[in-house]
Amino acid sequence: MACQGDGASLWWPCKDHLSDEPNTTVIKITVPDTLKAVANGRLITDRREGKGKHSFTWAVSYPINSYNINVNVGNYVHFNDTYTANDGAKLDLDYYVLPYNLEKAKKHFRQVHDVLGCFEEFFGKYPFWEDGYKLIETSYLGMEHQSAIAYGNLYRRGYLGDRIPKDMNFDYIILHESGHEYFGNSVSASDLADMWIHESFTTYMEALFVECQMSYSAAVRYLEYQRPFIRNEEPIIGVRGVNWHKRVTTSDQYYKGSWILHTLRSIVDDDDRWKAYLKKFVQRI
Amino acid sequence: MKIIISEDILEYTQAYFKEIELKHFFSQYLYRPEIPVIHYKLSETQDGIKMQYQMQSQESDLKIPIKVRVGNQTIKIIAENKLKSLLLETDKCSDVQILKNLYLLDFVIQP
Repeated sequence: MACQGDGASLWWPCKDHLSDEPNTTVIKITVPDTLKAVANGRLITDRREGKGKHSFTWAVSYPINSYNINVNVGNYVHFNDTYTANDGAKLDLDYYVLPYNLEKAKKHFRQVHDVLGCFEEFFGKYPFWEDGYKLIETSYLGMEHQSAIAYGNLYRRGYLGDRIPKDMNFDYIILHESGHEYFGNSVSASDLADMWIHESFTTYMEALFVECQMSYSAAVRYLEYQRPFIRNEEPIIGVRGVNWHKRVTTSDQYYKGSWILHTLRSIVDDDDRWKAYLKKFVQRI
Repeated sequence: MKIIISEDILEYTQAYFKEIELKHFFSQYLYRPEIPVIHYKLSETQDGIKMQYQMQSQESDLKIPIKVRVGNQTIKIIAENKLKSLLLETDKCSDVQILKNLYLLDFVIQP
């Protein structure tokens, strides 16, 4: 289930506006005892309720966008891993996948270390450390649910096997949705008009990941690969105070926004300063 | 964790890079749909290659420094909404390469 844009009030009663977030959240789900329920944050209770029911309670210890609150129910198997930050701190990585994808997922999700490592280099540590990092297999492509990323890219490279240069081999959904943990979930827009804050910066993070893993020239090549998608049909910043998320008919908040940041970096023309700006921006704005 | 609006970013960025005037940059790229177009022309002269260039943008005071490779050297030109000209120290147009992939600009070479 994903509700970004339409809004979380589609499925649970809430103050459904980007400008306000609950400081903490508890999510309790009761499901048939053959299934697991996975949500944001930490699993705090896991209890048999009798009569074929099982309940799972999850707690989120950070502010969270209402559209990021999420429930996944499935015949999941769980495995875990640990990411070690530059300062030695350990981050729990928890993965919930369908049983027939377990071995594939164990191999495929190793790239999470590369993603988190590069993002840490550019933007500092993963922002929801206490809640851990999760990927949860879903029937849809993906969504950046805070600390509980929906993953449906079928364990393929790029975007369902495509949409990245042929010599690159990362999973677009893992990369992009993990980027949103910084821009979207940690730094959040207060109005739909400002959604470029989520999408432009996160798309630019993809290029930074390529730079981190390969080189700056490869990152420029990645940006050039995305440039044909730019349409220049509408301003990046929309009209505030209206529920108008479908105003955007192109991907300009993604690709054009990323190119604007790339252009700004070229104008600044000082890589060390640019990188310091990005890191300070996330940590101090 | 912060909830912000676009202007928070613009103010923060302008304060960070205070020596670079960014108001017109953000106005052009974030509040308008169009991107600037650079019209340029290279012509051979007795003294070198003459480069003429002019930016066409909706923000009339926008200026963008653009890197140009001339042989083994890289120079910067400042594109703005007026026709400018400079003489490059080379005798071949093929030695002159604008680093187009660094900028969200459209480039149009004039005959």
